[in-house]
Amino acid sequence: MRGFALTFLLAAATGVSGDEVNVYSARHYDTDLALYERFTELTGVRVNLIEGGSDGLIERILNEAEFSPADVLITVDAGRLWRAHQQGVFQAVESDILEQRIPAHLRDRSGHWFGLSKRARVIVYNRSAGLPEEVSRYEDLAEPRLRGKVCMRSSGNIYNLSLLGSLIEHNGAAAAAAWAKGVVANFQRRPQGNDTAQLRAVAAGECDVSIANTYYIGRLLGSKDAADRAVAERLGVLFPNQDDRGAHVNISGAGVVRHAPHRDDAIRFLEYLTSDFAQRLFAEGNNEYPVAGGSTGPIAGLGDFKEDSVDASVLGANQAAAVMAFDRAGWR
Amino acid sequence: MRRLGRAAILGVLAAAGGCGEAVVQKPPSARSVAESAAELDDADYLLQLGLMRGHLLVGNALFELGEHDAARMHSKHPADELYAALAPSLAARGSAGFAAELDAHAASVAAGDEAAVAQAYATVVEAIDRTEKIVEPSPRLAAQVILLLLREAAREYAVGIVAGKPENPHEYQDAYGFARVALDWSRRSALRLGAGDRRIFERMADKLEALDIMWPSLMPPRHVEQSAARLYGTAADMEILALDLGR
Repeated sequence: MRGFALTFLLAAATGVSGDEVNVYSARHYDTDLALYERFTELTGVRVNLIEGGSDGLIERILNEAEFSPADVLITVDAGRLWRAHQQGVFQAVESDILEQRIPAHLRDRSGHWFGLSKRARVIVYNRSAGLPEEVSRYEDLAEPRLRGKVCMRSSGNIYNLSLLGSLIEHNGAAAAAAWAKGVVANFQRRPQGNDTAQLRAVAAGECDVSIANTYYIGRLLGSKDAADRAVAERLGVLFPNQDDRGAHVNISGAGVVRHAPHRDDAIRFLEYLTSDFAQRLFAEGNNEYPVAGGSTGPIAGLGDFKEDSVDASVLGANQAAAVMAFDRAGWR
Repeated sequence: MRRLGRAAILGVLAAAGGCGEAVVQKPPSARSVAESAAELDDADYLLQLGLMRGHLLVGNALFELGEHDAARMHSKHPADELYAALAPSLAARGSAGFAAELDAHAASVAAGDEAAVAQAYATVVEAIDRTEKIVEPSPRLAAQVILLLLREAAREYAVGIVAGKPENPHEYQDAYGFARVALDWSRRSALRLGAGDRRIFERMADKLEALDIMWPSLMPPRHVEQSAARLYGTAADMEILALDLGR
């Protein structure tokens, strides 16, 4: 880690260009500002930040085509990064730093996009009611013994699509479809709300078990609102599949845009985002885990866990099959 | 670091994707093209006036070229499709509006008398000028109006020209009108501002003038080399240039 930080600083010191890099970002966190300002201090390259929703930014880049000023797109979810790549949003880049710093399964093998932080999708339960018997894997959520006890958000949500994409990869399409059907049969209520809504429902005892991304739990744990923290305190968190493949993880990530006018600085910017300093801020901004280095902030208290090392590209590649499986299962 | 706040893109960008992707936090240091809800309202008000100007501008140009049928379509558009929606905003700002001037202009174009059209056009543009001046635009507001006009031009062009073929000449012409109004906004803004911001609007004007190649003629030829991407890209350039306003 230390070696990398030094390498980057030396490279930056000799490569001050006084240029700029245009970043289209779907992230909107205060910590990002400090992150980008530090890059400018190190390199002399100014960061012009254009913010928007993920799909809106992708659409913009596609509309702007070869006239786009976008150098870097930062967005969330491997499925979305994969889809953007399929639509021709990114260009391939080669960088020893990116390859060394980011685990292979968290980046596109052809260099079109790179994971920069990660989140786990975990099972949550009401601590006072206890973890339902024999629940330790995602697969268990489809067991008939959980009839009427499971809350879930909609199937259209990309996090659920990516989770099902991982199940398709590990267990096969038929088994994944059967899992979706089993979970639907266990619904306590029709899918509604986001992950936070599922956490609140479990904390309130409306349902026994659900799944959520860890950063939603981190937000509650770190909230200034005592009521939010009380919700978090009523929750138990289980990292699933610890005795086999590990918990499903997804990423926030970025890539160099296909027609980037400042390609070299865009690569330097991505490399900078994998530095120790940037990793900490990038991950803490949304209570995520860094792709390089240890976790900090509220989620660090959730403990270490074994993560599924399935290639993140697979989550996108299996998305269409996941949509069909959810649809056939009646998971709306 | 230069950052365009989320408020600035309200109503411009498509809605956010996954709801878990972001907690919108606007830091105190973030600078926006539009600083407040009131300015956003003003942006829409000025945009609607700009769109009307654009329709009238291209209609007048077509009339002068002898394309009276096409001119008639454009001259009717503001009254038929835009004015009614703007009426509450006009009333809220104490404006008497310019419905009569719009009707008179459309009637003159329909009648086809050149002198009458020229007079009616001057009158309606003057009325819009008066209506526009009710709002004193900040540099950021002016930049946002330019951005919105250009994005609308891009959308219209994308409908007008598909894979190099003129699928809808009317939309192609609308795009011309809107882009010209955006250029007019940038020139006018440059004239009334101090050195720093003036340079930004001058750079915007340079980029907007470079768009002339998008319209080789007002009646589209059989094949057009350009695509809406250049307009979308230039709009993004405007957005980035605007980040420096007030520095």
